[in-house]
Amino acid sequence: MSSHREAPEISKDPVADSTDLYAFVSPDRPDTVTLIANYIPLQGPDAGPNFFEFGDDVRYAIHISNSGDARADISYEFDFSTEVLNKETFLYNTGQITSLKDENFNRRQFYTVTKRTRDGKSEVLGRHLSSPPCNIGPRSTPNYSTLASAAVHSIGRNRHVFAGQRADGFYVDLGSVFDLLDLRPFQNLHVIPTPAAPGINSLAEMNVHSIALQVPIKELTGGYDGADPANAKSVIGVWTTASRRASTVQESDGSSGHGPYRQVSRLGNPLINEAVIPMGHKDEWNRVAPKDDARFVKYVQQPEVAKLLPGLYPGVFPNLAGLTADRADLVAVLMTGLPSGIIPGFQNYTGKVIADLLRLNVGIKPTAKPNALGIIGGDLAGFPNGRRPIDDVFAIELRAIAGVTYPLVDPTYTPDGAASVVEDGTMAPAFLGTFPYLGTPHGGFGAHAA
Amino acid sequence: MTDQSRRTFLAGAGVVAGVATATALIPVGSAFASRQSDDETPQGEANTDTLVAYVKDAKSGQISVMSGDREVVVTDRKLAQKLARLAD
Repeated sequence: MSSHREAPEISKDPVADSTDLYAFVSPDRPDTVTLIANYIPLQGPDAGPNFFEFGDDVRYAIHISNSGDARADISYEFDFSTEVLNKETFLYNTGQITSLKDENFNRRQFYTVTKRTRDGKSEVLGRHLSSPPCNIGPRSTPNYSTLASAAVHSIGRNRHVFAGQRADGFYVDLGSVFDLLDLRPFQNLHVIPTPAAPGINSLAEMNVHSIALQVPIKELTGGYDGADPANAKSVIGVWTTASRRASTVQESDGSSGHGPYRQVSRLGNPLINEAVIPMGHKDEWNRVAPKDDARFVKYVQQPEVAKLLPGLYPGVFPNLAGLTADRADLVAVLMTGLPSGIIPGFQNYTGKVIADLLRLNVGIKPTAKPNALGIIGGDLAGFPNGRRPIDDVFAIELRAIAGVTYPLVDPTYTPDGAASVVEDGTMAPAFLGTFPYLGTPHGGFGAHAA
Repeated sequence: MTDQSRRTFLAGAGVVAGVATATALIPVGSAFASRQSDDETPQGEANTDTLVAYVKDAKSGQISVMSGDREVVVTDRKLAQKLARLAD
């Protein structure tokens, strides 16, 4: 999964578990960038009576680096609080919820958005902003899309924010991936073969909780409008973190947190901690800052999956089996950005600092017909130029690891034929055309009906 | 945080001594400080907020004191060993 339950410790703390991060130039408002950080993985829609919600004791943040050193120049922080109208009922809703202020909406969450900048200044952008309820079903939350739309808040200076439940936009066949990478469309070629079959999106009926923020491009770049994609100022690095208090005391009447917030989860590029960082370092990865990622670069240079593929698919990846050099292509794509001169008309280089950042060149305008394979599909507006919901990041990264991007640094290398077609066979779900873009969450009543 | 507020915090924590004899506070980030301590009784009004004192290492006397969103690490072997004995 992109980063759902990707490390041992955070898999036991879902409220703080970052699952996906998106950063893209908003297709319908191209003078803005949309940032989406998803948390709380694998939500069954019918998870009552205590439906999913953000952690009041977690500080969520989306960070922007725009000065080439992988340190945060801007951080947007999100702090939640829960209010219960009637504590003498077990019900999440005591009747139909027809508005965010409906008194039947018994258990509500609100949040504060704070912008902090590297010079030490901070500004509260929004206070006591409403989150929508979870999508319970047609009797409890009728007209859910309208209800959720009311939770899109304008927070000044052409910014918009939304925090609440969404359909999980990530798509992947987990059942096959973690069964010895038995990709269904190619399982006839697997070392333990069975007939080929279509992929199954394991997240097709799952929800997540999204923090979505739409911000003017100039706010993120330090004032540059991104007119020239070749200009270094057009590139931003993005990551998200969740942090908990250094100390939590469990008392008879509840728990209390003490001390500063400490990072327990982070996410930049998809699938890095998931499938590149080894088991013994995953929890460490979640605690450190991107600027300190040099310690992990050897796992990007020699990715374990590249070593596994030739054995799992005998005779399919002979050239990959012979590729023993450090993968400078993957380091560029994931850890520094691609410098100018590699791909015509494109760069998202943020300097020499090795750091897992989702790097977005805001000078590349959205395409009317996006290609889910992003840059390797010829669409410069897609992953690894930031990440859009539609981007098939599993296939893109798998193909890159399988060798399809290695000719960027060694033109004499010929990728295996399979490297440019390997995938899990899943398709993107439906997305909205406007902010917050991720689809309406699956309702509880209809869960499992199919 | 100003030095004065740090002193107030340290005094409130009840585990550190007079400022005059202490080494300088070392700010690490916005919410973290570190200092040596002695065993004089802290002066001034105590902080009444709940706090957590975490003995990181009783042998070296390293104690982390957390209150609000702040953390101060002090080195006070006598106090650390006293707390360790209380926990026996």
